Amino acid sequence: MRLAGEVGDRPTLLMLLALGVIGVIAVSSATHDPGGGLISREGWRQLVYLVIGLGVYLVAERIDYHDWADSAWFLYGAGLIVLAALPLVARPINGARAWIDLGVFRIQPSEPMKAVVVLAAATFLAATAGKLSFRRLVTLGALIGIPVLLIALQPDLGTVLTFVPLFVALAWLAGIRPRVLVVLALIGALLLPVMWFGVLKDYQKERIITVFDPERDPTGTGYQVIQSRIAVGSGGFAGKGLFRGSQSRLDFLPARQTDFVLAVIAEETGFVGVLVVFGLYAGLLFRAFRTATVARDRLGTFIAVGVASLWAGQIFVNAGMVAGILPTIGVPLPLLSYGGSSVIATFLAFGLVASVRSGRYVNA
Amino acid sequence: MTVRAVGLPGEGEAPRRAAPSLGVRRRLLLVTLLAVGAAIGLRLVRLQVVDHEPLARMARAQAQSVEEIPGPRGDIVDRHGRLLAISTPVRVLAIVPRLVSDRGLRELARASRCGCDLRRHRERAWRIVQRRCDARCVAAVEELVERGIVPRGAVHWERAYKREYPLGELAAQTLGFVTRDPGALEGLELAYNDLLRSPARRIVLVRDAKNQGVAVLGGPRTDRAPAALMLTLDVRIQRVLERALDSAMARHGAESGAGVVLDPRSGDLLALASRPAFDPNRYWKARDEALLNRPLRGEFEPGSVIKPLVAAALVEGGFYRPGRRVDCEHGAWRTRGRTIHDVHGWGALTLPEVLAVSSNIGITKFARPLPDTALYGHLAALGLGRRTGVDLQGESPGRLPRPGRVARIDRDSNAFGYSLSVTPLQLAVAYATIAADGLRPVPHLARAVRRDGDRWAPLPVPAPQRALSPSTAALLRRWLVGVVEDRHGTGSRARVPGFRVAGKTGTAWHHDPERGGYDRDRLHATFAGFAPAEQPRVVVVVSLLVPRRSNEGGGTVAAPVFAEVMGETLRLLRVDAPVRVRRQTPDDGPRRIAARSAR
Repeated sequence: MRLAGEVGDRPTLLMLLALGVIGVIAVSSATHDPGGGLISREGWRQLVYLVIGLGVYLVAERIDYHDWADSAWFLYGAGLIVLAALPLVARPINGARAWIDLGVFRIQPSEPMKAVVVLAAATFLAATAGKLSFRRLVTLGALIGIPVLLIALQPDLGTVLTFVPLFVALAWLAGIRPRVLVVLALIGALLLPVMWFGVLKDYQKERIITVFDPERDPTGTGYQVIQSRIAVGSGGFAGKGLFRGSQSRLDFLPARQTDFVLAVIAEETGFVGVLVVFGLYAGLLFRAFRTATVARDRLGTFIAVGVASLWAGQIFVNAGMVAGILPTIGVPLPLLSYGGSSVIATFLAFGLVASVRSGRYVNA
Repeated sequence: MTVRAVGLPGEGEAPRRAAPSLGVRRRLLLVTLLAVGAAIGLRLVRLQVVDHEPLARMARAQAQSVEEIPGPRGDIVDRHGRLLAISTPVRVLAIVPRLVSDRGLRELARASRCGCDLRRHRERAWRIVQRRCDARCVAAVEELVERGIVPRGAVHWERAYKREYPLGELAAQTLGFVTRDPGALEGLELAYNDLLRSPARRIVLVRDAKNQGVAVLGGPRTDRAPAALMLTLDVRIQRVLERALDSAMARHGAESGAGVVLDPRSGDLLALASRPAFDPNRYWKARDEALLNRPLRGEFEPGSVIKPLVAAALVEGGFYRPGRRVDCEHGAWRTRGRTIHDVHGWGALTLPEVLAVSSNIGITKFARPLPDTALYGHLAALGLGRRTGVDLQGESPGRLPRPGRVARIDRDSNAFGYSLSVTPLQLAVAYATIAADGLRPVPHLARAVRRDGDRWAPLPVPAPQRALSPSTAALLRRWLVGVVEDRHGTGSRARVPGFRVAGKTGTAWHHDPERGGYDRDRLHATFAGFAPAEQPRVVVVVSLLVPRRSNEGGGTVAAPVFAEVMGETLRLLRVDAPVRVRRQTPDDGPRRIAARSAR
């Protein structure tokens, strides 16, 4: 193992920390107790997660990504075992067996698994240069598909959805023919009715219908969609002011410190605040793509693009849900939503990307 | 560089192919990413910029309800500063029903005397229990809180004001009142609402997603009323007028009455009374007939009080020749298909004599040569058929026929006060015009405004209009003195010791517009006049709707009320009695009437 020394990725770290601090403020506002201090209990916890995440990032950054790749299969296997064991050891929370309770805090294994899946997929794709045979495409699908299936069983369909961009991006980058991609898309489209009538439960279908017509059940399924839309829209251009969002303060906005934290930001800081958040995310993703460009080898490129596409998927799914163009799916907004697993996994993933960047001048 | 993908399904290994171009594919990925980001961004622009207003409204609507809390209103005082309407502080009691037990709600309803069943509003986020909670009510509710029957957090107090009228029924219709949802409804409260009111304070009752009241937001409070209003009314004179009307109504069984006391020079209304009355402190209990401000709105066919005005039109139009007499046909004259009657039969009378004895036949004959345009033009100049311009809303214009549109039979009736209608205030203005040398005043009630500090800023007095020449007015004044002073004059009971009084009686059938005919069981007994005749200071009009009894009319019912009000008013205004000149004889005065009527 080799430490990369001084060569870090300062802009990425700064953007991660900026988003993390915004997250602490947003979580504090969403869980604000009129009698309590400026930063709520959840805010402090989020700050602790941020600090842990920083540590994880600094360590991940300093480990050469080839070393990461060497242990990819071990991590992947361990992750699969944990995911597979979850239904046995986890107590259901909100209907999903997704958390392992460690007493002080709970871990959601599917979050760090995201980084591990990217690592494993990149390692696999980098192993053979220059081609993506059918077999390898299937293998790639299985690599991503098996953990996704396990997550889907929790059940956590939202997280499943975020893996789709990862698969598409990696396959595309690995050289899949556009024709094949079209065929895959067609198969996906053909599978939609199967999903609709076979897999999706009634409440999930209802959520999808609600996106197009929230008024059909304004106090039920449509409630979250409508309240989120009202929160975002009433924030307007400049927002109502920090800690002054009536939608979140008065409990109208559901899951406001987790899935709908962006709605809190939109309500209290307006379009301007959302633009700042989006700007930081865009910076983070562009930086990762830049890293992919300057990476020394294909492994680095696949890691950087994989992280970028998987996180872009999460951001888009969450923002799309808050903006009311996607169904209500429980996907956290990286770094802003309350929850340690997601924060730490994000730092880990971007730590990997930073490691790729650090290693670009080093001859192994 | 070409983009070549490797590994088509079923194609197997193809080792010679070049590596796929990472650069182009990466850029395409980036573009896709950007496109998705832009789509979400556009959606946010739509929500936050384009649809912001409606969505913000929805946010407010689901979390807020706005209540208007009345601020203080300016005082209304009479011309000597006596308080007629004041604003007293009260509290508005709002509760969060969910937080209160059934027993607590019951006790709250009792303590606040809201007369409501609060348990029926349990599902409401907020409930305004009482809008005018006085000190006792506040204490009773606070005690419930102290005893723990009602949780502290469920009770919210808001300062407010309520209108009180310390003198109760006095000038009730003129003052008007203010309703709960702070809209001034009647009288001066309505007419000067913009001046008196302070902007209602809007408080926002905030509820949360569980529809439970959580907070009350409110803007700054104003404890200072914007302006106070001083009236031309004199409480003492108002009281005299109201008492005199009340006792006369009791004496004669009258169902309604109206009285006006007017300063003819300035147009200041010193008193304005309408009977029956109500207590504006309990306006919701008032009957409709008590709400009507009769001096302004009570149109009636005036009868003989119109005759001096017709006489003024004759003189002004040049159709009066001193000394000319008409035959009064001894009480009954058949003309144009009907018979005009007088109460007493008279022979040949001059115009002043016709006025003094109030001969219908005489005035009809005198008025016939007068063209329509002259008759109605002069009556209109005296203020008939148009609003007087008094500073109250809802004034009735009365009804004056239009020249050329009137049947001749109606025109005959007009001369002695039928087939047209007036308000008591219009009569007062017309008589004031005669009293004030022909200048028609604009009656008004507002005298001064106090905006800040203690200085009263007088309001401009509306300019009077010339309606008669001074000489015509002077001639009429002499003739009207005759009505009161002459032995045969119908207005002898209007005399005020020490003063020369000018005036005219009127007795007319009550015209019922709804039934479209005359009610022969009810009479309007009216007296209009002024004093002192030499230099008039006060115009008084009294009109009562009385049941018909023999020998009753303006001279017997209204004239004594007039005399009482006029006497007291002159005393209160400290008008010196002039050195009494014993019976000045008008040029062809009514002294000789007795001799002629004996014929």
